[in-house]
Amino acid sequence: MAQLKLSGVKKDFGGVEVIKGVELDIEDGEFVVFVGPSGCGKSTLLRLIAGLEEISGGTLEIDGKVSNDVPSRDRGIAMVFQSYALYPHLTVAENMGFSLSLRKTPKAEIDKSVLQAATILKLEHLLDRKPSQLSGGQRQRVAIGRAIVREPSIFLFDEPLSNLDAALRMETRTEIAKLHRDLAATMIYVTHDQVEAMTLADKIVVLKGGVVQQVGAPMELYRNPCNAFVAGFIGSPRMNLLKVDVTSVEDGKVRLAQPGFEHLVVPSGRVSGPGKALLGVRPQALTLNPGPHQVSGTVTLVERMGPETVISIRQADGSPLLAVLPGDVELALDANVSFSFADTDVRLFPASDLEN
Amino acid sequence: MSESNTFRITRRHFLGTVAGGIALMAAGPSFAQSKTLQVLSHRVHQTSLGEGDKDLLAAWKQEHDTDVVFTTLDSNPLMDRLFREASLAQTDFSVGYMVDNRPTSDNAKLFESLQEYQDKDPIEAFDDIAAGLVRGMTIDGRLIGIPVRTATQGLFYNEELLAEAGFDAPPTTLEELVAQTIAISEHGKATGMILASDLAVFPVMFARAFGGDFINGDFELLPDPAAMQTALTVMADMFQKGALPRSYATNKGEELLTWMQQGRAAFSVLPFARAAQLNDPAVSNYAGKIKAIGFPISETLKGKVEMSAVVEAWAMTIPANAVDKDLAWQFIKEVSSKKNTLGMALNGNGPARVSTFLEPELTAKNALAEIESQVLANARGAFPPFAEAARAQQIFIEEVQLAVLGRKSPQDAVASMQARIQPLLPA
Amino acid sequence: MRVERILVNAGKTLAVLLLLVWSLFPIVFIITSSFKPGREIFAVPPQWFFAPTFDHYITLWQRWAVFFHGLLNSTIVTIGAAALAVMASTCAGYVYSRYSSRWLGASLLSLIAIRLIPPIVVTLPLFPIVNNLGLADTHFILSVLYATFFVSLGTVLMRTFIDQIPRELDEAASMDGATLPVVLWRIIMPLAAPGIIAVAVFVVVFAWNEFLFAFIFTSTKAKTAPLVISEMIGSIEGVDWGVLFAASTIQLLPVLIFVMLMNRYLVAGLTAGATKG
Repeated sequence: MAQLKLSGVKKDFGGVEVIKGVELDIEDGEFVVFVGPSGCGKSTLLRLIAGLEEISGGTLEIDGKVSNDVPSRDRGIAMVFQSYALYPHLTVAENMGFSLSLRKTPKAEIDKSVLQAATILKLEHLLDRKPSQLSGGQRQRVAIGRAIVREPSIFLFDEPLSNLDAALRMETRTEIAKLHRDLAATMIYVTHDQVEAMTLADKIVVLKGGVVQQVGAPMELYRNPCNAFVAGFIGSPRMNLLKVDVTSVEDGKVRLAQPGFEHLVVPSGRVSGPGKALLGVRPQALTLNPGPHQVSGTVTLVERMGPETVISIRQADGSPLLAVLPGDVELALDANVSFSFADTDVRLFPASDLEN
Repeated sequence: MSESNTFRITRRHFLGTVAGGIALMAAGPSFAQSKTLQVLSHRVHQTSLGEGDKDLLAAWKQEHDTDVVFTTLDSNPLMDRLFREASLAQTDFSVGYMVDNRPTSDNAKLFESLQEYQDKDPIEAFDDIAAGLVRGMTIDGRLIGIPVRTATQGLFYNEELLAEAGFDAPPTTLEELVAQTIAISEHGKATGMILASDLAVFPVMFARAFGGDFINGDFELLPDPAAMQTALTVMADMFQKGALPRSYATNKGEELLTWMQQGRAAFSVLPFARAAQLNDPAVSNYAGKIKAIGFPISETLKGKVEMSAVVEAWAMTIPANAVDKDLAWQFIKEVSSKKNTLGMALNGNGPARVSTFLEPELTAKNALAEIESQVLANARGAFPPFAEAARAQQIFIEEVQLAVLGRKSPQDAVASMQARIQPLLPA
Repeated sequence: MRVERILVNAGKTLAVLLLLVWSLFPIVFIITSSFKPGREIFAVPPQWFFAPTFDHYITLWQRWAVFFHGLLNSTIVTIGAAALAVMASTCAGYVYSRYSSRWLGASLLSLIAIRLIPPIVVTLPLFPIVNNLGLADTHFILSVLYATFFVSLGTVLMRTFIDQIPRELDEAASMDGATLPVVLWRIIMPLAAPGIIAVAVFVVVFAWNEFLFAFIFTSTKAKTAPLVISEMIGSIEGVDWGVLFAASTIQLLPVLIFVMLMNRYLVAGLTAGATKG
């Protein structure tokens, strides 16, 4: 069990900075998820913590001790790789017991620890097999088992579920969550899947272009995304971002020029003056009931999922919009449709949020 | 004392190489003398001195408290190694065996002049050692080697194959030899003669039978071109008439023995010492039937001059950078003694001393000893040593082959030899 | 069509047979000749049926004891060279596989370039140096030289193999607590075993039969078997073929058996990289 503190952590590869000064505190026993699109630096950040990459600038403290130059093996860390990275020439038991055998732990003790971990992960009957004889899900569990046997204070997971099919992914996700509860260890988990982030995390770290966008509990990020990127990234389907013109900002309230939004008064957030802005509306906040604020367009796609219906429309200016309505809603393609939303369900972001 | 010495040597080797130590332990230290004399030679030189309780040097080793360690290599590698060792700042080899066609002026400078040693502490009856051989080891007036082994070329014939073709005696002139080889080939059971096309020895013998030579002791190239031309004409004729095998162009030196043992050829030119292998029932189909005589001279010269056969000789040298030259001289002196020359001869070594051939012990064992001594008396090397000798020999062989195979006239071949080889000779 | 196919197949079979005869004939000839009575070895026409004899082996044992000492030396040198070459190639191959920089690239190129120099060019200047270091006539120097000659090829080969071992395995092992040597020993070497075998086979075949270096750098203590065999071939007393073939057979067999045992891995090893694992 451990605390981590990252201060101004940077990483550059041959002059290209991929981590641009990360500040982050991770509490003992916390489940932290790094999330972001591919290339955002989340895996690199994980590898910096693991000690697999050298930190170019800033400091990494583990339990208050600067650990930039501590080799991986001495950081008390175990990692589950995306590719599982099982040793192909060793059996499941040997894979799991590898770290203990390096520490010259007596054979009986290794066997005991391995069996214990195998029992947790239901791998007892596979202990004598080689990795090549296992299914993808089994390999994944062995990889986790190998991490457990090490009894690390920090677990690192690098997109561990991305090679599994949907059903297995859900099951394993549940197992990881349970594991976190049982072991009460600090866990850092990298994924590009916001569902995994939302369901597993105590704390989500949203990354983009090597910069931390926002850190917070899942619902905090969902409710109060600090910028358009986070808003778009957290929540499924993604939040609609409507292009709007701000006419005035008064007392933290904003008035908009768009037809249909004349009566809308929203908190200004980070918008400070008249000009272009983005209005974020979650698809779930739209309703067919008439209301003061309206968006309209023609239906381009209707996806009827049973408990809910996802409707895609094209607005007059050509930009798309998504709405999620509860229950089964029948709408004809190309029909004209209007949605309304409440003042309290929208967020305003500067237009510059989506630049760069 | 000797025990601790052995131990020290073993340990030094151990330090030199861990693995080496293991091998040495496995092989076991085989000596217990306090001094070691390292000799670089061909294996033949080592075996002719005898081993174990037949060791001819046993008493000498005892007396000088010295062990003799031979490093043996095949002829050409041996010469390369000897010259390379001699060019180091210092070499562990105190005695090196050298073949007489290698000491060029430059090479000879790397070796000790032995005349001073001979004057101070002379070899027994030095005059008995064939004068021609001693001359061969005297380079630019310095005696650098003491002759120790000779291999004189003789003409071997298969008595039975001759008889089958109607000859009850071997040839006495070159012309008779040619006629017999042709007749035997025509008879059909065997080829008349087997010669190797990769050595200069054979055409040199033919040329000398007509009073000519390839390069003589005074570095004269083709001293009698007409004789060489005649020799080539005769050989080409033999080839054309089937008296030499169709495979002549590819026949190598190592094959001669096999051809004779198998009875595939009736005549060949080989060192006299080969008589034993040619007549060994274990390897020969004609044991006891293969005899030797001196290579015959042409009838035009018979009785006027003596045939000069080819001889190859080995001599013992002391590298100028050797550590223990006095001990080396003691070794050379001992090996060259009459007693040991005979002992080596009984072990199959061609002696360098004329008197040894006449020792009853040897003549009783070796029926050819007397003939060999007569041939040796007039024999000399195929050609003298000089820097470009190997290339000269190569060109010579090439031209001979073209002439023998009929691809070039003997006249053209001789002219070409002259033009191509002359520039290679020392000024 | 049918006829054509039959002809093509017949052609292929014939080609394989010719290749077999071409490559096997010398080996079969040497081995059978070593058991033939001396007179029958070169008999024309060749004798296919004969009463086998061990005479040549007995003669070899009695007259050429030095040959067996040479075999022992060859064995020590060969094992030493193979071990050194495998270790060096694995370590270097690992570096070239896992790290990259301009200098590393250049050094790999120079490794290969050095290999193009004829050995003899290297040996001659080495001779006085080896002598001065007191390493002449030691197994050590031969092992080192043989290994050196194969480290470049071995490194390139091992790099190809190690390239196929996912880097995550090294990383997983180092997280599991392994130091670099442990990673090499416990992870890389077992997984690159086919490559190691390929390198070992190359070095063993080379070192076992090598002549030039052995000729230049040994005298008596480390003299290897090929040198003794060369003395038999070039013997100025005429070649005793039966004994020579007996010695050649003994010289040939260990490597033949080794290569045959390793063949399975070797083929797998040499084709690695053609398809992704």
